[in-house]
Amino acid sequence: MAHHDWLGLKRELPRRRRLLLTALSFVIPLVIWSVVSYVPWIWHPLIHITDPGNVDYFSEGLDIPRADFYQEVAKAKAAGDPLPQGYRVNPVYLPAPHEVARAFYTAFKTPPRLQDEPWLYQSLGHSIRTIFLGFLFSSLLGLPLGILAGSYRFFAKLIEPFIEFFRYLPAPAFGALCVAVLGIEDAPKIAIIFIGTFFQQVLVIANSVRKVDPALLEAAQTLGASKWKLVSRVVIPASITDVYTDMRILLGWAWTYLIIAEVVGTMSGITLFINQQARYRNFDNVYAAIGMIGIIGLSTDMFLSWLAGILFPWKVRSSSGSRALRRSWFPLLESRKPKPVLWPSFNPKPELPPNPERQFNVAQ
Amino acid sequence: MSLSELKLPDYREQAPPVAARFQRIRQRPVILSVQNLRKAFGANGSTQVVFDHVSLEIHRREFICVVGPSGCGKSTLIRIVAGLDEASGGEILLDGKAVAGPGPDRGMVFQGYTLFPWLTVKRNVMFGMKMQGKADSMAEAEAREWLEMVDLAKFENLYPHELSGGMKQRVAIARALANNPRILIMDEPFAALDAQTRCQMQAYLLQIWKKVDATILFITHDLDEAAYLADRIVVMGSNPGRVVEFIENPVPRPRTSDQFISPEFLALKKRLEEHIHPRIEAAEKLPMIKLTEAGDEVE
Repeated sequence: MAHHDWLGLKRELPRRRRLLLTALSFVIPLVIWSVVSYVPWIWHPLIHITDPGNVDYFSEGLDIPRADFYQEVAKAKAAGDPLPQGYRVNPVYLPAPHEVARAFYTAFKTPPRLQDEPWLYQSLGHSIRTIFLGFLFSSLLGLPLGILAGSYRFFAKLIEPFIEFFRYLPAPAFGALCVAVLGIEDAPKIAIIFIGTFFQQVLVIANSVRKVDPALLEAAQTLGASKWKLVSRVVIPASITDVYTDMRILLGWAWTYLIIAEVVGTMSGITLFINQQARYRNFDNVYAAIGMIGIIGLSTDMFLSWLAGILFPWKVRSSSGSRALRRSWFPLLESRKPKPVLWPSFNPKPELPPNPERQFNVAQ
Repeated sequence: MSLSELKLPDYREQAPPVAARFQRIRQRPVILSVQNLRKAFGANGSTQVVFDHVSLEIHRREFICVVGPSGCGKSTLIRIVAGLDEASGGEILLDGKAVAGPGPDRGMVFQGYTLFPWLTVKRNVMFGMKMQGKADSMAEAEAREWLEMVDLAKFENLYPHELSGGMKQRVAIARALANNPRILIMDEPFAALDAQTRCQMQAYLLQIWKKVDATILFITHDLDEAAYLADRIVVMGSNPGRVVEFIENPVPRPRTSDQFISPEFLALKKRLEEHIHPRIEAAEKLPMIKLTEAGDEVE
């Protein structure tokens, strides 16, 4: 194997390189962000005034565009006035990494400014609940419908054309309607997540179910499976790993609908937190909150992926761990095979105890 | 020396034990009877006939191979027998009763691997029995027995993806037989295997067949396979598909690899070749266009 080749087309990389690249995919954006934040001569388009000098509209703590600042400095020089002082900074909407990192911690520790405002953890909890309920209701209806449409042409033709039409309607377009029907609290938000997820869900799951190898269905039929058992014992288990993966992807989509859902009616959840922090110009908290959504989403997905390995042990996973396991099996299997001779004589195994039902002794 | 110069007996000549065996087979009850079966696609005017007037009878515990050139409809034929396709005409009788649709009375082993990937080897073998409503413990005990028979008892808890191709097909055979089908239908079951594994599987199959009351209808395009396994060989022709000859295999049982160069085997093989591989004709039909300057020395 060419271990030196980092760019082998469609070739799996060794484990260490995979880990390294995974780390790099996070480190590279972080490095770019750090460089922009910490290297003073890169970007930093503003001057943070420490001493306004005699300039009227300068005051201590004000951020002034660099060009304006240098213009005033030049004017002050010409007039012989005391020079204004300051240092280069980035705009307030780009906090440095360490500020955001600190905000991850302090945002949980800092009580809300007003008494009736939620803490960050409450906002997050609220958002997770909204997502969970929206996705749950969608799945309760979408899973059975998807499986039915994937299994029977009858249901596919009955259900899919309308859903195909409906999924083009943007979920946020239903915001006003949802508020009118469901009020301004959580119900319309859950409904938006539902609308955003459900119609895709039915189609995607129906598609995965349709992909079940028809040969498996035929085999099951020749083994005596019929009608409902064919669905429950063959179609569902055969497609369950794909459906599970679909659900993971759909859960990700549900998260992307969250922010839109939460501005419907009274703003709530993480969206409320983000908006308020932006109004207070606590952009470190804004980034921390956005980052938390990413972390929650990614860790949920990683957990579900790990769970899949436990739930579906027959699934050949691409992780090197299971491949190593399979490799350790194969030598055992090889040794079980008879030696490769052309037309081998069969090693007679101990005969089965005579079974009158099965044994039929015809003199050969 | 070419095959045509070889002095071979007539493929219809049977040694007394072979003739006696066919005599016995003919006296056994008919398990499967295919009567005047017809399959055609399309409607009014533009019908494409796959095969027509196909009739055959299979006696209890007989091993029948169907061979034929590609396009003769042999796979369609057994799919209809298995109930997976519908016939356009004719009848299929199992134990004298007409059958329609698939059922556990006709077990099937497919060319592709059709083990259920989400079930362990043992659970795969238990599948049919559970569909018949057998209790778990009973089905499990029987599945073990069947796995013992195909020499895979040690692998009962593995999943299909952990098995080699030959092992998968052995499990598939066990799975089909565990249902006690009246007839076992095999659709080129070893075609996807490499040559050596295929040979082993053929030997395995004969051993299994010896141990159980199985009537086998076996489709293959491999003439050696047909000659090695079959009692009778049904030769099908194409355009349109039809049965051209029933051949009683003159090679005595038990079959061994040595028989591959026995006169009976070669005589049978020669006859099959004449039916299936009209190579000379095909070569004559191909237009000769010279694309190289190289002379005869490359031949």
